[in-house]
Amino acid sequence: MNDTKILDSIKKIVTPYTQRKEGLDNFNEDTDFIKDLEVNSANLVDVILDVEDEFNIEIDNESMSGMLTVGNAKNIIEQKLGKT
Amino acid sequence: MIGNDIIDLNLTKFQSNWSRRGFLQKVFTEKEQRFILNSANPEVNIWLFWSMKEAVYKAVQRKYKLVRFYNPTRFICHQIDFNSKRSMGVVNFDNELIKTISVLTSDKIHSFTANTEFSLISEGNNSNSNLLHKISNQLNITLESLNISKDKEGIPFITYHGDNLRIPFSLSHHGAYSAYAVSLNMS
Repeated sequence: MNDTKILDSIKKIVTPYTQRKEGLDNFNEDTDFIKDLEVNSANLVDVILDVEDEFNIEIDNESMSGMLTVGNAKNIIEQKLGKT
Repeated sequence: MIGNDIIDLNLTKFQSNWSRRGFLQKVFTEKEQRFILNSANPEVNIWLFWSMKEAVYKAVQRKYKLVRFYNPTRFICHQIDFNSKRSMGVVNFDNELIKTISVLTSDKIHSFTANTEFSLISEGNNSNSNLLHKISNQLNITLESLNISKDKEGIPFITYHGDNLRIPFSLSHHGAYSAYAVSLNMS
């Protein structure tokens, strides 16, 4: 799976939890789930669970700890899919 | 070190589905999950523990200038004392124990670190100005000399006559509410 496809998937997953919709216009690896999209901190758990379901991976707490930006989430997904 | 967190219980009903598979496991330790699921009102205790974790996260992030992170199970909650409206707790973060106080009503939960000298919950607009009014009355100083500012990390504080006095406070928004916890000991 290439970078663009992963980013598109993340965008699709995070959209329903996004409270600041204009943050989606400029969606890129630097996009911060909490600061830019105003995802409620409890909904970040839902984003992580949806990512697990979508890619059929398991995200441990240590990986989850850094999942605050789109780029970070992408890196973790790639790592878990066995692509480094 | 000061931290607080407000939960609008009318909003969590729409915003979160805590019974979805994996949710509790990502947020709570096994012991916390047992406490929650064996309690008379699991939903209230979920948000009580969540707000305690968030309040202490904000406090330690501020105290140790930590880079932001997301790891709710690193904050382990214990309830020490509880009556219908008030819960006293302790949150274990790494090797530290931090006391918390939570005030519960039917539509909201407000948790703050126990060193909080006063707290305020505000609805609607003008919440920052409500806070400054309260501080002005509490400390008996003129309102005009107080302002709200933020440091480089985005951590807010109140200034008195420019930058001479920095009163740390913690701010939390959720749904209809803005909540503040203020410590006047300046540390």
